[in-house]
Amino acid sequence: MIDALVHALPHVFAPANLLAVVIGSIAGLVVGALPGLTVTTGIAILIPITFGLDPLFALGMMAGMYNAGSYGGAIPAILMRVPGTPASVATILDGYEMTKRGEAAYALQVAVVSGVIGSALSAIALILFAPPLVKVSLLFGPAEYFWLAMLGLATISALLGDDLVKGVTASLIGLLIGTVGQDLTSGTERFTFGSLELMDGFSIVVLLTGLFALPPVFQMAEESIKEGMSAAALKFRKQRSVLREWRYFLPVWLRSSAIGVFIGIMPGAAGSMSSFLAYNDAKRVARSPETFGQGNPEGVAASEAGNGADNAAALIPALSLGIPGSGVAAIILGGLLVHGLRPGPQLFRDHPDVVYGFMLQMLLSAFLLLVVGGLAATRIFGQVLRLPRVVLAPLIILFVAIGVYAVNNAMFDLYILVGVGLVAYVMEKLGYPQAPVVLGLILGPMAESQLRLSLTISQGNPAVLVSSWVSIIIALLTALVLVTPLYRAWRERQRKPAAA
Amino acid sequence: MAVTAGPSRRIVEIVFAAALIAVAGAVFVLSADYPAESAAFPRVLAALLALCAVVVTVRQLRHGAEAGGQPFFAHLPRFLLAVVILVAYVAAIGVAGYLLPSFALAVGLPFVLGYRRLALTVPLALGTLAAIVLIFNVVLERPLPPDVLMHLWETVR
Amino acid sequence: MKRVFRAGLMGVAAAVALSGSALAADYPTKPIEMIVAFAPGGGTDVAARSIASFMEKHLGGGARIAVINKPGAGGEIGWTAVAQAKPDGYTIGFINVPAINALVVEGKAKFKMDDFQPIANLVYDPGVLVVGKNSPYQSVKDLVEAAKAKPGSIAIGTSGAVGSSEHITILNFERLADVKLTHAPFGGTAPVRQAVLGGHIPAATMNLSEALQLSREGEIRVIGVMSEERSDYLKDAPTFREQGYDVVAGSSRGIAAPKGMPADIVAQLEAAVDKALNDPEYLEAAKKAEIPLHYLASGDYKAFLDKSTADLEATWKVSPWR
Repeated sequence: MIDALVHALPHVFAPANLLAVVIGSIAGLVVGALPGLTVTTGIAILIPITFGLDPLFALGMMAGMYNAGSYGGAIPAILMRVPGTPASVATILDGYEMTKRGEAAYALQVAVVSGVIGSALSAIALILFAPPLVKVSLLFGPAEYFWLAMLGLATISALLGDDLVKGVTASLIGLLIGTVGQDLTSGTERFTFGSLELMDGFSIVVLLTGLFALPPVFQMAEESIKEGMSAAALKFRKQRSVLREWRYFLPVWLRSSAIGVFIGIMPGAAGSMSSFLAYNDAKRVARSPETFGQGNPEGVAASEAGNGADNAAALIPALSLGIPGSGVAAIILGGLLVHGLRPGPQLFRDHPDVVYGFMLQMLLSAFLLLVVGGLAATRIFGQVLRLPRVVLAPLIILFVAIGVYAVNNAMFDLYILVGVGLVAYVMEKLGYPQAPVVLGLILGPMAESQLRLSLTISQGNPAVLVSSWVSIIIALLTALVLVTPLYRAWRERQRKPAAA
Repeated sequence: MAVTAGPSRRIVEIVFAAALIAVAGAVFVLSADYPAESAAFPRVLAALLALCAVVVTVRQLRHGAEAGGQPFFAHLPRFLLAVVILVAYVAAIGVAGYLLPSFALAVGLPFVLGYRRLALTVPLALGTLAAIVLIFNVVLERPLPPDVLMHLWETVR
Repeated sequence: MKRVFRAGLMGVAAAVALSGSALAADYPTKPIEMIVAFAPGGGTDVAARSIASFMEKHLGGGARIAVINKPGAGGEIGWTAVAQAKPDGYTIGFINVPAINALVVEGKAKFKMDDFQPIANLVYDPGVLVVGKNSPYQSVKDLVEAAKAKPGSIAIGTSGAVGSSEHITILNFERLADVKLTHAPFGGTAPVRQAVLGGHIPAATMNLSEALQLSREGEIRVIGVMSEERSDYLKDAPTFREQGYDVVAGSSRGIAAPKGMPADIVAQLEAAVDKALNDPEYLEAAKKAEIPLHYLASGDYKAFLDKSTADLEATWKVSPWR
């Protein structure tokens, strides 16, 4: 392996291939930052263009796009509260609060550095530990996925907010929205009212933008704010430096990256789970969990490191078995095939220079992100906030509208967007949190379908749910996640009388 | 002031909870047609949702008087205006395509809300639209909603 | 005003259409929309984008083909858009057999198979039945016997949902072998492959091209190929027919247009597909990727579509999948 890595190095740093990674990173940043455009779309358009080119040129562009695209979503999430992907929702929770406090530049910096660390650690895991990690991913069948979904749902407890009843209500709304569409196991169409557009359920990007991006627009209209953010709030130098505070962030980065890598290797787990799980974990071990959701940089760091760590890890089962761990990994597989690179153990034997070259490019693109995303792009994007809010809001709508339309090329989604936006605004003003809606929406279908799938395979015998040690461990973890906040509350109560 | 006040927070709170109960009821009724295994999950969720909504309502009725008195909207007319404009915008996209309504929105919304520096809003709107067309349509080949401008362009050619 | 304008345009268009060859000589004068009924990045999408650039080259005259994704409802939204488009040669689309025929046979779709003008088929990928490497089943017969001993005890994973082509195949197989199996829909190829490899499911169906590499590595065992003859790509794998079960199934991707398209434009597009598929550069990439190319010209493609529909109608009568 060391041989192959050394052998691949000159190819990776060949000027053309280096340029490919840079171009890919810039393009990835753009598609990631715009709602409705995804890295998958970008790579899909890229593939036919790369016919006949050096594989490492094509793969370099994909690697750049992948890592930069996954970070790109954080930019509008932090600055404008527009989530490009479900993964950016956990970033919004603290990132947008920091922006409101005038720490936009710092928040972006935390996001980019954390994303870089997550992506880099993930790439290192890909290079060093692919074979054992693949074995872990094979331990997961429907029953194990069911518990994984339950674990994810349990993390909602970290997002409920101050009002428990309203938090639970919001989760239930999300879970119910998740049931819309054709039910996989029996083929029944639920709550579609005969509409073809709803057969596959609501499009997640549409709901996300409606939930998060539109309420601030209504608020802006009501308050009619004619000022923008001051230039001072957007200066980098004046604010803290993440790199100097690395000791403070290190534990969050490491834990979140480990979570991201773990979720990344699971083909059946929603990719956005990693940022939520990482966020929950950071909040759970934090000394003052109540500051999460109010602009705690650790929340941004956890979410983005978890999100970045999902990337290269998703390639582990993809390269070694041909089973993509994420949507983007799936399309990268397609790109590999076009170049005659068939995934599987023989890929490492027959084309070690390309495989290890690609892995190094994943690592390289992670660090390039620091330059492209951290220095150049965030400075430019950040300036947008200096516009008067009453001018900025309609511009956000322009991007949101075209992005939502682009998801399915359907007007239907635009109507849904406005409807969801209105309901979301009322919910927000009444103090119903939005993040639980998203988590319920994503994980509810996973939990239900995996549960029913495992029962189908076992002919209805519920013992299948606890028949493997993996299931039992995850079930226990779920219980732990649920019990921790209760335990904390109990301890607080114990302590208070003593102090008084 | 009376014009801008609108309903109190308490009223909205109760109306929203009532809407949730209605949704839960609808879910319960609709899923009667589905096979038992498909209906089970949504029905459980609907029951829980209704329960939560009842709790919210009861809480409002018992304690809401002091806290729920203030108006829900900061400025109701402007809110309604924004809603109308947004709905009109989306409807217009369906009729006239993306570009013209978008330009109208980007310039018009700030204008009616009292921001009248056209020297800023007009170039900004044009620049944003140019960037959107460039990225979405030219580079990434994503189609824009069918546009009257395109028809005009084609007939002119 | 606009209507008057349109009417005028239509008059012109009609006049041009009358002198059909004049139109075809100019074709294409604007970008051709190629509708893909699935999301960007899926198998059909990548296939469409790859072939589109080669079709542009062989249509000549600076032709442009824009791939437009209209995903949703298992392809129904995109296919409806193709069926209802103007047959002026500027809207074509990818259709997938037997998924599209299944929708028609169920009577659910807003289109009929007659609404399409087939242009050419590109790919045919036979289905296969696979088991994990540690599975006790060495042949289809082993699996059938085990299922007969304990009806319903053997679950077969598929990448689709209820009513997907793989589900329909399983129903056919159940009828032919007179067994009761359990259909376990995973809703995606990645999870079902993972489940077979990890031993979470006794057997699964997939397309041959998806099973090739894993089977060569000995990670999974292909116990039956659903084609008439053994595949050149995997000589060792027996067909269902050899083992006494007449199961022939697979999925194909081809290009179709709305019906009523001028014959010379059909011919032009057909020729462009043929040339694109034989383009050395494309051919090499396809060979490397082991894409099971299977060109059918317009007429043959129509016959193939009709046969698939007839087969599904027969199945629907005996064992409806919904």
